[in-house]
Amino acid sequence: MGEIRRVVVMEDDPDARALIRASLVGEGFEVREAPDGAAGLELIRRDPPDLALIDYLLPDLDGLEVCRRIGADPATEHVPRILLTGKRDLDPDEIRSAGATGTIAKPFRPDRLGPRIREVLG
Amino acid sequence: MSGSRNPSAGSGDADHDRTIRELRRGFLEGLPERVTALRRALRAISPSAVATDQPIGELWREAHNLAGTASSFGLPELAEPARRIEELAERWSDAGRVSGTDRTAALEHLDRLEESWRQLTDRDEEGEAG
Repeated sequence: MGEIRRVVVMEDDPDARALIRASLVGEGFEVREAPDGAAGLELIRRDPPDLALIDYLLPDLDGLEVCRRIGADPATEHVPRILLTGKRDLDPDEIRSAGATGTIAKPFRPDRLGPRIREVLG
Repeated sequence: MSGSRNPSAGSGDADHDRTIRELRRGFLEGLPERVTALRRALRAISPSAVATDQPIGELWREAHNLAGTASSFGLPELAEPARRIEELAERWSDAGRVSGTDRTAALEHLDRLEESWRQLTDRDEEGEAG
């Protein structure tokens, strides 16, 4: 996998979104952010990033559906996708079939977010 | 792959820590607004709430977001009562009804949330003054 530098974050809670941004910027990532799935998909379509970090519970679309839509568009299908989720009972097969590389558990520690992304992406 | 603290930032870690502290302060400043939204959603829930009741969904989402974000900021005294409210909302959604006891419990968790917030902001102000 190539260098992961440009990240699109989809998270509806503004404080959580700001915390994710600060954590990732501190790790040297470039971050664009969206408060819901539709806005996030538009950001990704317009300029595909190196990674999409997607909250599982967005107000308009669930994270799995966002992953599917990224994968269904030839212009964005190559973008790796990680789900941020507080749910412990997500079906791993469903996550994989939606095209997500993996998940990062919420709540997250800000100083662990960058390292966790590296772990998930392998 | 990117991965370590941004070396170009010079005093990167100190800047980063200051940013996180400022975000935490902003989160605490916005907490009364979140509690107001929780109280509003709780008031809007009828005793015979059905599983698709929108106010229950709103209460659940507000509490869920608050619990997760407070945890990420390292504030368990706010996360814990929010998590209790989230669990109550989930139970009401499953059961399709809200008991008076549960409603009282939710109000108590909200009061506890506000009290913890007051203590935290008082402590922060004392820290800044000291």
